[in-house]
Amino acid sequence: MSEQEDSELIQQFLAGNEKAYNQIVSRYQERVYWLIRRIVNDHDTANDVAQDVFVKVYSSLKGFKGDSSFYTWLYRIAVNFSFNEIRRKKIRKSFSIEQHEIDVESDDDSPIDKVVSEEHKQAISEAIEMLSEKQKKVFILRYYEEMPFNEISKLLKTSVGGLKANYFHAVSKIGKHVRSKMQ
Amino acid sequence: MLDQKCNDIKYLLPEFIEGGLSSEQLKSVEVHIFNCSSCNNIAKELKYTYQYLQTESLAEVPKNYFSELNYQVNQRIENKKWMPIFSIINLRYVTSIAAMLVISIISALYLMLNENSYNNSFIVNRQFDQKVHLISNEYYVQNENDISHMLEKDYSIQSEVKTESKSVMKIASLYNLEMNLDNVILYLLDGEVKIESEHDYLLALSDILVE
Repeated sequence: MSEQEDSELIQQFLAGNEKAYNQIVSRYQERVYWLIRRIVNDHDTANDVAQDVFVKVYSSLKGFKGDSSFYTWLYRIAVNFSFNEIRRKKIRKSFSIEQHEIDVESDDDSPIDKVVSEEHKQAISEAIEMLSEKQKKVFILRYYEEMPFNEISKLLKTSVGGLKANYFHAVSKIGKHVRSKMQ
Repeated sequence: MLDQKCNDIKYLLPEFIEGGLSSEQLKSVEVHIFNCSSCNNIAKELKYTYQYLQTESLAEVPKNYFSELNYQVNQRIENKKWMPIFSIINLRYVTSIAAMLVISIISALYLMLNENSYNNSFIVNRQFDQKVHLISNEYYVQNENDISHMLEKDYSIQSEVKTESKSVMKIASLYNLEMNLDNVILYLLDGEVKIESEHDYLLALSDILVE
């Protein structure tokens, strides 16, 4: 999607066309959800945070000055909200929150494939959890979101050199953890 | 032992494997790892990690989730439009705050009539004690008296900070968290936080714990 189309939708929304905001949400909801999901690591929390982000963007669009691209601004809000939620979750640890069963898409994996796949996912998500906050942000934005370093630099307001160092250490840490788990 | 050149190169290795380097950088990395066994090993390990990551399957989402997300966002926006006041006031405390205001006004009038006996900071503390008493009826805090005593002894602390630190300690107790009063006071003195709702208390608590 071009930036022009984003800015047109934003202008339409600011002129009073509420449907334009629905289009913005539809356009970015999957990308924002998966970004958040990678950070918070469970669906229910990701759903809450994604909704919070889009509600926040709705009320803040008037203040969007266009200094950065819309999606950089949106991603910054999503990253900040996700890490705020992680901090808040540490507080709520004393509550025992039962994991809700979710109705998932069926697939054709055999039981053995599922076990291997689960171990696999578990090792990677454990490794990502072990990263520092900075490393985690860079890793998720770069690896999963495939964002160029100069974009991440604008989003996180950090130098490209520093980001590359963080990214290298993040991938190395993940590799070490995964190897130790899968041996 | 990696030298400076190795350090420069190793931070380019992820992009070397992902394929995002310029032709000049690519040549520089290729020449270096051909001659440097340490960097060569690091590159091999990273390559293995990428292979591993690429086989990761996508996490699952509930059926029709994305078709419903927009609707849920719209619902929340509509609710927010109709209840702007309720979105910033925590309903759980509305009754307590209203009662506290009435008691505060009565207390202030009473104290104004007896101004020789009380100084201003004591008025604030006394009003706050009423508030604490009201709110804490529901959630009794075992060491509340100790906290109040410690805070009131120290006249160097601003009354607002005393108020907020008591509330932070109270919320901490609700969540069964052990919180050091000194850390709470330092945090409140240090930061530019404005604590107005339970959400703000939780954020303050999380910041203190993270620190």
